[in-house]
Amino acid sequence: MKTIPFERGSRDKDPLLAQASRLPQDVAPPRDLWPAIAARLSDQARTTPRRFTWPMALAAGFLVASVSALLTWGLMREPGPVSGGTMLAGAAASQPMFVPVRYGPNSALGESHLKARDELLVQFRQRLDELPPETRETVVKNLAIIQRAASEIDAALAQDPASGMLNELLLSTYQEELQLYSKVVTAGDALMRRS
Amino acid sequence: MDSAGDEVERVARARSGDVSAFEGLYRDHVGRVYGLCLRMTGHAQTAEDLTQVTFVSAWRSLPGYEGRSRFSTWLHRIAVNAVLGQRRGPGGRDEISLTDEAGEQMDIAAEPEIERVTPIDLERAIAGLPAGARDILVLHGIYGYSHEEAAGMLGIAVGTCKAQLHRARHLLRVRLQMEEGT
Repeated sequence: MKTIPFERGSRDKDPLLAQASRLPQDVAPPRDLWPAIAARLSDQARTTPRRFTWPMALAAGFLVASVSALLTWGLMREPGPVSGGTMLAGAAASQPMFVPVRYGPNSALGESHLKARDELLVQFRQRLDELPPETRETVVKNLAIIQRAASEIDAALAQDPASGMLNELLLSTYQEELQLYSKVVTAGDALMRRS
Repeated sequence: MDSAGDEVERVARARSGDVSAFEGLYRDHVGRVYGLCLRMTGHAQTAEDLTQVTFVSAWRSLPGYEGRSRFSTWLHRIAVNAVLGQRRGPGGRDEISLTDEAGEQMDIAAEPEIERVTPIDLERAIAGLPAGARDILVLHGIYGYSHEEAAGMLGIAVGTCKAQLHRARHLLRVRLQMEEGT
């Protein structure tokens, strides 16, 4: 890889960068944003610094990374989905409850993230009911792992919201959740075609 | 802007829950936060949303702010994280990641000078840069963060940061020359 020839003082050496450095750093927003911000402050539970959340968040993040591979193996080895007619009512009732991952107040996932998830969830819920009990249990357990990670990362973000690494971990956890739903939907479709 | 001592006092009051002190911090810093978001996203409405997210997040997390970095740096890191999160989201602009094409070696002296670049031309040219190059140019070129600081904010290697700045400079020149020629 080629080296880059300048480093220190590059803003002074390069006329274009020097001009960029003279651009105003402050840009006034077109309207006063404070009223909207102030309205949201009262809803916010302020976080008390909590120690040692970083290692826990990291550990949770690594655990989440292992979820996907295990689930893929679990879905592929299943002989096929249980049709709605063969699932006994009693067995269905005893299945672990499915709850989508809840992201805490410090996890700044935008509405677009959650909207995309909700769209996928519609298909996922249909497929989940068609899964054999053991696979369904695996899915719910994996979601619990993702939930733990999301909670730990949220707590760590409360302590260090400026951390790029924690935000990366949060996004990868969210993506892991979506991938899990997507895998269930895709595997369900494939198994339905096979049966 | 108030003196550094006043800001320290405001931060301390805001940490203990004084909303009016936090409003003072907002008034002092909103221009830079909004400017940063606007230049990184290129969208006024998105920049407004991200500015709000930044200050709400800062308020919630202020009790954990220990003053190890300057308050403005801490706030800007939150803003950069908000921008990056938004960009990677489903509703983001799906822009090329920060690790797209590394900058190519170029000889600065060999590049022709650009004449009569107005601030508006420069802002427009910056807004047209690919995301990775634009991020570095904004943080390093406009807001004065070192390569190490900018790389830390963006979660990339310092070498990538330098390469992207090099690429940004080259692309800026090309764009401005094209404008000159028209």
